[in-house]
Amino acid sequence: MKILVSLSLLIFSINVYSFIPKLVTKKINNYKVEISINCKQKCHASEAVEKLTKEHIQKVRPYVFGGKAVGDVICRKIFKAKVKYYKDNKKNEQHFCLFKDGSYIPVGEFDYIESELAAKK
Amino acid sequence: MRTVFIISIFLFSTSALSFTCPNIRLDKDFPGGKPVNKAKYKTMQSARVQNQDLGICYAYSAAQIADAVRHKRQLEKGKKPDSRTASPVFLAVNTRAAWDEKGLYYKSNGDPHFPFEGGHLCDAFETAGRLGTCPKDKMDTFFDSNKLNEETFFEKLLQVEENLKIKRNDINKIFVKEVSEIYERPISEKENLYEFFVNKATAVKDSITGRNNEIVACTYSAIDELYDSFKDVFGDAFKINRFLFKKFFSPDMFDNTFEISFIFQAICPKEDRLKVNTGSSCNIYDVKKSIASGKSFPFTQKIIEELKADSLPVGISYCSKILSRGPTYDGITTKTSSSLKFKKTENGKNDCGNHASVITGSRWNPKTSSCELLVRNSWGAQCKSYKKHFPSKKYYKEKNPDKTLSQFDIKCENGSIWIDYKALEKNVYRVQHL
Repeated sequence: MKILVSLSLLIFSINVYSFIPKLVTKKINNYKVEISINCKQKCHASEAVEKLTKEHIQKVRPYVFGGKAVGDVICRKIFKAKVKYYKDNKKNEQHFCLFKDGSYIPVGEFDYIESELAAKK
Repeated sequence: MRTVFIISIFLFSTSALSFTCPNIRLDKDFPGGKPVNKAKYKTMQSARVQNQDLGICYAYSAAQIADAVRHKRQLEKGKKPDSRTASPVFLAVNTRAAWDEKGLYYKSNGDPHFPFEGGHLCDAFETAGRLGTCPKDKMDTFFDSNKLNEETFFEKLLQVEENLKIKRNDINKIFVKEVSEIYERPISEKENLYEFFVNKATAVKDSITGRNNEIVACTYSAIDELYDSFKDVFGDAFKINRFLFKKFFSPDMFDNTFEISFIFQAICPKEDRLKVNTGSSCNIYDVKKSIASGKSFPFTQKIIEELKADSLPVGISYCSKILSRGPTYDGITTKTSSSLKFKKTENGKNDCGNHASVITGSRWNPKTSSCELLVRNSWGAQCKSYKKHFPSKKYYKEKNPDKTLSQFDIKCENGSIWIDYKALEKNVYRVQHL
């Protein structure tokens, strides 16, 4: 029984930390972005790309300090989603914004959309 | 004729700059070995690309320099640099100079802002020299085993601190009564409770026999309670045992800002840390010094000078908005020896996006006849954030499917960005180097 518990804990921990992102490129609102493959027609991640506005960016400004990337803050503050951590085989890191429906998007895409929105008059 | 033409172009290109622009990369060689990498040591070859969570960019930069120092030593001895990486969060919480006076104020504005967010690279580097660095894997294992990340970990600690405040008030009430009896005056709320009780009580031990032991016992039972509250929050995943907790715990915690550094030093004890042996201290080259130098593009010249001299990454404090607004962005409105002012937004807020990163290379770009510096950022191993103005190979090809690609068209590589020196110079306000 003890072995079974330990084994299930081990499997659980492997599941938690073995996130491997699977992405496809999609055009949403004229933005060419990478998004999780599990996002079929519509998903929370694609809706986030559609919904993001200049006003949202203004709203998160106070939280962007100490060199934080705006994309991370947008994910947490605007969309109330979780930041998921990915490490490649060389332990290089990358953040993803994980939504409640299981769809996700690299937070860098929010940085990119922010720069596109800023360029619009 | 052709040779004369090439020589004249070369002369023109170098004379256009008031400094030489060497081809240096500390992370790897240039594609196909051309141009030849002039770096004596590739001290960043095994450095991971990191993605910061908290606002501790200065500690990320210091950690990378600390790793490069260690790797340089290994390379000098003919060894392959190890793959261990310093934990930036360990450096940040142990850098007292980076702590602001407000302490933890989760409740005051409804959002966590940790006292060690925002700081100076050299302060964090001094911590690395003093304490050594904690391997990032060790800290990550601690976070992972608690199913936490850097941000949620500190949020949990804030909960503990809230409980601690209540407990401290209770202890205060009890002891104020006791002390009033002994000293015939009440204890000030600002007084250091531990020193007051232990030191002063020791001094009067002979006259009031027995009281001292009782007070010390009470103090330490409070530490036991605190340990239990940590266990309540973190469960069995809280790996520090009671003995270790009591050994390293300072009862000053009851009077001062929450001593997170103690917990981190217990998670990563001295024997697990990596020594950062450096003969040189961290130096700051600020606006005042840059103006006093009388040089044109003083920050660029300083960066290149340091890159060439040490083969170590050079820290910069700069406006990160350049990364999202492009090379035309100018985040500093006033840069004089007595004044440094940043660009403001329409509603009067700081627009610059103050940030710290390290420079890990320089290259002469023959396509633009200009010098470029390689900014290694801490926003992950990706180029999506910068694709509007600093495209990676993939994004450049997408935008320019018919053009022949040169390495100089690629402005972003795995989270590092090549930026023209003139554009970067406008947005840099401090250089920190060994």
